[in-house]
Amino acid sequence: MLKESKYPYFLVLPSLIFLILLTIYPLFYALYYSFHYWVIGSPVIFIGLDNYYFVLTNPLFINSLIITLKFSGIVVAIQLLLGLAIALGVSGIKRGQGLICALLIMPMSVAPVIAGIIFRYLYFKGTGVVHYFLSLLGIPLPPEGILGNPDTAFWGLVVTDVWEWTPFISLIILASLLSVPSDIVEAARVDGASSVKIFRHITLPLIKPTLFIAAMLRFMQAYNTFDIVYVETGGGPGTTTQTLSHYLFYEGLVYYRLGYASALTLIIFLIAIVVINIYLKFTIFRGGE
Amino acid sequence: MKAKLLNYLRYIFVGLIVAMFMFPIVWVIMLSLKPPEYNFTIPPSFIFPPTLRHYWWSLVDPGYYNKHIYNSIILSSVATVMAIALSAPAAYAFSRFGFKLKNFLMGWYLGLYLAPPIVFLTPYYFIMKSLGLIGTYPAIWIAFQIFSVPLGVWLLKNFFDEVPRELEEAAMLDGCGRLRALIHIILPVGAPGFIITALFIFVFCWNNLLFPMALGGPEVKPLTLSTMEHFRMIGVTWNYIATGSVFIMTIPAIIFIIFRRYLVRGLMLGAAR
Repeated sequence: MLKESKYPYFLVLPSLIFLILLTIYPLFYALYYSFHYWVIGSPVIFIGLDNYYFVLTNPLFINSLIITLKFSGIVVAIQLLLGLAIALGVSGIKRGQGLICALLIMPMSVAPVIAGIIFRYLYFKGTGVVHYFLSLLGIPLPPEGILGNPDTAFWGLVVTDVWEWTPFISLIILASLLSVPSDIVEAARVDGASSVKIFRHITLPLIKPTLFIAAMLRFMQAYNTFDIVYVETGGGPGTTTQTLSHYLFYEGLVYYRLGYASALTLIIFLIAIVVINIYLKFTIFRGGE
Repeated sequence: MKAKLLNYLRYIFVGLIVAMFMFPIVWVIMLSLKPPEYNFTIPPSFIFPPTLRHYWWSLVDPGYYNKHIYNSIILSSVATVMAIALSAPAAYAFSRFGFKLKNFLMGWYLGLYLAPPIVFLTPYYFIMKSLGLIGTYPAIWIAFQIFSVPLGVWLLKNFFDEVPRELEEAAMLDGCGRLRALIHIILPVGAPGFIITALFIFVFCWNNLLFPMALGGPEVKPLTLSTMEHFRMIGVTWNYIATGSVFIMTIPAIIFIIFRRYLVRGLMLGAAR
């Protein structure tokens, strides 16, 4: 008979063993090969920390790192601002709120790979709707097409991600807005506070934690972006839209530079761990609770 | 007067936003109904004689996507069952007990859900290869657990949290063991939670591209992968991409719309109050 105090460990154990096999083992596998020269078919030769040196000094790695961080920062900023604007707009609507929320949930139900394909179709030169209407508005577009030019290709990916996830952010913020106690807002209004003041001094402080958590969550997901890059730009033109995930995919499973890819794996993972730990600090490990 | 004007502006803003976010979806549905000669026109064709022949090609003759739809269902549903079986006990423990490693473990599960899946992919490929599992269902079922179990644990924990402790405490006072209390009290009350969690996990597996692409093979190819494979050509294949996309979107859209209340709260993992 199990003692009551042992119960929780017993219950957690199956999933824990499974996930340890699925995470710790592969990571040790990567750790081991990160110290070795290994290209598929070659002998495995111990080379110490050389792979890490090669990764950290490789302009392609630096390039992907900068692109990934820039991409993540920009999409999070746009999604927060636009999401807040949408949430504020929807929160004041009395009839049809349910329908609007139902429609807003649609983009995030689209598989990222499909979102990428749809936007690829929208970006086609001349025949794509986005390209057609932008040129109709007189916005100068590069002759090589939206996805063929380094700058516009980057923004093409940003727009795809913003399309897919802004509605989600706006629904999160909306839920938070609706939970702001209306009597506080009413009291402030009776005291003569303007809408802008109420928003700045009452609403915003109350929804701030939600905004922060939503931003962290989205940053982490944007850091992992692979699907839309793979189908829309293939990291190109050149390597100008290459995210870290896309870079690692090619090093590991296309070029089979496995020693190098293993070191890259651990570096990408370490960066993720830092961000994830910040997220955890502000969610389940919130101090004092 | 000013308030009324502001209200109109609000409706116009929200209306425009909703229209803009819906447009790509509407456009791909239109593409799935277009005769191929309307696919690439300048200006883009908004008006065309709709046809169902691409759906016919996809589902009936030759039924190109049938095999892939089947694969997607098998891959996602078995992975979901595995994930629920593994995560339900852990979720129950996190919800009902206080124990030493609880916070650490919960953080670890959450971290795994957020971690970049790509970092596990290359090792998985070689491990699965040495096990002879590449190109089989189990390779993908197992790989899917990396995000499904953490998602399941967190979503189910939230649902368990809502089942009042008093229910099982009362049952245990009446002489039920904890296990019997669990089976007779918690499971029936928590059933909707299980169903919703399972459906969400199903959607995340269904929409996944990376793992089937790296670990799968021609026999187990899901719909996401086969739809994507058409896209480097221009012509009628874009209509087939569109039908494939419509099939992929339909199930997640229905599930998310029906259970959107839980989705917004559930995916704010760790922050749900």
